[in-house]
Amino acid sequence: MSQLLSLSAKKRNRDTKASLKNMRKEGRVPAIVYGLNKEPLMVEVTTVDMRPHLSQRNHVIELSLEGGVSEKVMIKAVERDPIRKDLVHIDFLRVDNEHPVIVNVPVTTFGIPFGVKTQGGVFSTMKKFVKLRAKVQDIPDKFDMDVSEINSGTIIYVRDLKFDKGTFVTPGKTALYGVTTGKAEVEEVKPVAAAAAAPAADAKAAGKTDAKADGKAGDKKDDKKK
Amino acid sequence: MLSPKRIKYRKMQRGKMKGVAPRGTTLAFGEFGIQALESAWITNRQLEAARVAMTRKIKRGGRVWMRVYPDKPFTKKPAETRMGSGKGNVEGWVAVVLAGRMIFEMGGVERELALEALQVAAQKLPIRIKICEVDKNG
Repeated sequence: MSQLLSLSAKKRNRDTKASLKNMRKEGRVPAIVYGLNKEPLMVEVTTVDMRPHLSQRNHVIELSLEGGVSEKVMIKAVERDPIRKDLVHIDFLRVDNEHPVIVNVPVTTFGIPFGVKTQGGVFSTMKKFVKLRAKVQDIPDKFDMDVSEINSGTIIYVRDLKFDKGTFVTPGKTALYGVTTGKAEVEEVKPVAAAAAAPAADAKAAGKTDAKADGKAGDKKDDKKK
Repeated sequence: MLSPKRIKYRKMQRGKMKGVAPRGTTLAFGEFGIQALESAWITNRQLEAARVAMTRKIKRGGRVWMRVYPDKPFTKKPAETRMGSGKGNVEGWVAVVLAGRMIFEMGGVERELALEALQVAAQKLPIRIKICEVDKNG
């Protein structure tokens, strides 16, 4: 990771729910800076300034605070509104060139697998990211894999990736990609005929005794009404 | 039709659907998905109709994931019955879907075809939805 982008932030004291809500309305996002055994620091950044940083991964940011103080940070977590996708909160992790950090690195593929082209298999992605532990300057942008020679029934695991400047946190036996012998859809859905009878069967099975008791009581009441 | 195999109690209270979904709001398996924008009970019939519609559209290849399950029984009193005499009979099963919840996901399909298929599936659902795509930056 060679990129070093800058971002200006302001210290904040406001931490009540209402004040944070107002802050978000004004186009600013609450954030926190922590790590390297220092005191955590509450800050706020503008949404507009954050945009270029959100389109990248695992890059180091020069976070400049008031009074000429600056810190080297990485984006650790971004919390968004589940529907509107607006920024809600950002976690910045302090980094330096000596301490390793744990990051998620994307694994991408290129080429059409042999198993898909000729053997009618289905290419499936099991994992899009791997977690690894490395120093900031050694973190790769992504792992790009050529999958054009994969046959049907072959699976690529994390241990097949080549990386020697750090260690994988994701276990080596974790599957990344594979070509399976394909069906149009693979789902765990019950057959229609069996399932149609299920609610009635459940009702009978779950409360035979209750049903009897309820039924009798209900009948008597109905009789009285009649 | 989807329904639980075995249940502990055959009738359930209705409950409330407050707020937005606390989890299950992001794409976890596929590259495309249908996200609910409203909270609602979605019946097993509606889910099945949507699933069948989209799998027919993509024909072969690809995979569909259903992220909700209709595990809540709903009851109904018979027609022309006087009020009282206890709770009605179990009529069907619903999934309680809160706003923001990812309902279906799809993977291994060309983008255009996937979006078309999800649009067809969306027609079978009783709520407003949003079609989501995976963010390459995670």
